[in-house]
Amino acid sequence: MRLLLVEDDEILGEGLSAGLKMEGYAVDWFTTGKLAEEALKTNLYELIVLDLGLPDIDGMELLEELRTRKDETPVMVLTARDTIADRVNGLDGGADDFVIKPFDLTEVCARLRALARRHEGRSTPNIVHKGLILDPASHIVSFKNERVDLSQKEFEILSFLMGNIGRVVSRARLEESLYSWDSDIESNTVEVHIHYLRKKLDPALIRTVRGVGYIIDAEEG
Amino acid sequence: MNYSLRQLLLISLLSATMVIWGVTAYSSYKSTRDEVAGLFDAELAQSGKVLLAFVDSLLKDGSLPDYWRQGRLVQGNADAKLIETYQRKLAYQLWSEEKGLLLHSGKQPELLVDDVKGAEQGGMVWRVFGDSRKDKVLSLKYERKVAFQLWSKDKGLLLRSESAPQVPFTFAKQGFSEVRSEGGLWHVFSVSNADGDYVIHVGQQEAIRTQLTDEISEQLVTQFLVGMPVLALVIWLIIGNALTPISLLQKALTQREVSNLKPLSVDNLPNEIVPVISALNSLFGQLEKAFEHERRFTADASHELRTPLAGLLTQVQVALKTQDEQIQRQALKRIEQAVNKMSYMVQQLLTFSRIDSEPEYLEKTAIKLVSEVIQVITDLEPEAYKKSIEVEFIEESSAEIVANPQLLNILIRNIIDNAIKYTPEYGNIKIYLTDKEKNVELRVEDSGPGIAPEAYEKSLKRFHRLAETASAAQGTGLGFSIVQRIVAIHCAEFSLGVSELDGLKVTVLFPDPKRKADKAPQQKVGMSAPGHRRAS
Repeated sequence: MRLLLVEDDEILGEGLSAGLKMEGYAVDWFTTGKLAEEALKTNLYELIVLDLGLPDIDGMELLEELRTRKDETPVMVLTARDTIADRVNGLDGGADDFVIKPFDLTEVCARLRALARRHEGRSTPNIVHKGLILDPASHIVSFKNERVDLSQKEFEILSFLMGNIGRVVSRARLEESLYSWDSDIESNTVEVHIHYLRKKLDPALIRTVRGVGYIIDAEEG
Repeated sequence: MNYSLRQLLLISLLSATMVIWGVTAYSSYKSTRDEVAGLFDAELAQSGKVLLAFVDSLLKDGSLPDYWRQGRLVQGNADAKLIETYQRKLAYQLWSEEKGLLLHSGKQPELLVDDVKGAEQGGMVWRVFGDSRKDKVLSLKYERKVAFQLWSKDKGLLLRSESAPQVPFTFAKQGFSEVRSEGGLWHVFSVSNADGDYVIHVGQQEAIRTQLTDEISEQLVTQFLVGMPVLALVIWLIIGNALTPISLLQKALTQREVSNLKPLSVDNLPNEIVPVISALNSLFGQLEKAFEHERRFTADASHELRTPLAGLLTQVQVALKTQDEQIQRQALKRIEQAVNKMSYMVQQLLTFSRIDSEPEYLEKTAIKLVSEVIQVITDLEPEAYKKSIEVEFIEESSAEIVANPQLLNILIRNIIDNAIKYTPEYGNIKIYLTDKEKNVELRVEDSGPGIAPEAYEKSLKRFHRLAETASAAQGTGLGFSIVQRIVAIHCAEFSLGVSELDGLKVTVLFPDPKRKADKAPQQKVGMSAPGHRRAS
């Protein structure tokens, strides 16, 4: 899942970036609002973690601009200001969640999962489909009541597709969600991962739409 | 020493009243005494003349009324003026049982009883007189103190009252005199007939007058003694009432909570107290501002600490969670950095709060600026060397300034430290110390990114770090705030500008005590317009 992190503090930014990568997110980290704006114009993100106290542009301004563009990417705001007024203004300004510094990394991850879940329109944490159960928090996947071991990338692709059941997901979109700017993309990796997924799970689960991408079909009836 | 306004007013008002009353009482006592003396003297003179007229008419043949009518009564001329004053106010009548009114004074008295006419009047007077003779008390009171003597030229003492001595009262034949005789001091009026054959002395003891004056004075004193406590009570109550606003104010102030700094109302208060309350209100306002300042500072400071804390915590959690040794090492390195940064920040915060609260920071002595600058450069040069920054000190002044050593050190350290932090590797820093008219100028120029002139004001705000430099140097945003505070304490001037090295130029102008002008040093802490202070 591709995530945009905007945080001007070196130490915190680096820590968050490392911590979120460990959770499987493809993290793009920027230290200024201007750079973040540029990134938002050229890439699609599933989640945004935004610090309000940026040196150049106010984080709230960035958020409002995003919402004016009808971009509904879930945004988690990081802030040192903890007054109720600050929180109210933040939420009204378009933030989906508010985390006060200093925060616990595991809590931030849990909240991000919840944000993604809500964005996908689910209310339960586990994604269930045709005997396939995916737990985003523990990264555990089971098929027909048996636990299946998946690599991180395989898990990311599967959860992305399961988050979009019944919709075709383009290959490029999958690639984008897998890799952040700083990682090298091998062009055939998505195919390779899909191949392994089919092997480990039901081969008919993921259908290839030639020239476009992949889809997990919705249950009939 | 504290005192009660109420007591002070009471005591001073009462004693002032007493003094004024005493003076008035004494003067009214004196004038009463004079008046009484005048009255009695006139009475004496009248009595003397009545007696003379009587005696004259007894000794010579002829009826009294005729004698009166012929105007042969000798008017005493001893003290004509005094007699004149009272003559019209005294009157006498001589009544005979058979013949009615025989003799009367110049002032014709009203009839005793208006509706009783003629001869009936005579009879009536006599009856009343008979009654009053029986009442001895009246006559006895002054009997021994009034006396008369009738002396004849040839035969000596002819007639005297029981109380009169047998020797002549006085040798004067006319007028008033004061004589020592039996029973003390006597006031005597003497009058003789036209031929000078007879002399009549009418005497009155001083005691009568003293007694009367004493009675009057006594009454005055009694009134005062009764009136004084009443007056004291009334004054006490009036003062108490007038001081009510003060006790109300006191009540309002004691009941106040520490956090309540709202102004007090001045409505319906006396003009004397309004300035006090206005002064209090202005103090409250200043306190409120100071408190607000403190509150905001504490809030800002704790917010500033939250970000590095969050970074620290996140890095710790990454280090704990990761299996990758390289990530772990990097996280630990960052943790060390975060702790260092926070220590620095805490130290800056402490410095900032100490400047205002610790009095030893305000003691100033004469310091050679050069040695302080050299001291700081010596301390910080290794930092610059690490970044291969060349630091140059251009010393053109050896002036002494009056400053607090610790504060001066913090000031210089902050400016030079700032320059080193923001100047990139292989850069230059030049530090100048020069005499400028009545000031000594410390100027630090660097080849760093500088600050855009329009951002000068913003950059001097507390906790503000500029976007271009924020990530490059791990500043706290407190440096310039500390510098400005110290500059203000030393009545110096602080300004930012564009450096000859294209970076930032920081200038501090210290007043030079030796070349101090007649006017006081400027307390202004401001910024110069961009470019105006460009070094030549």
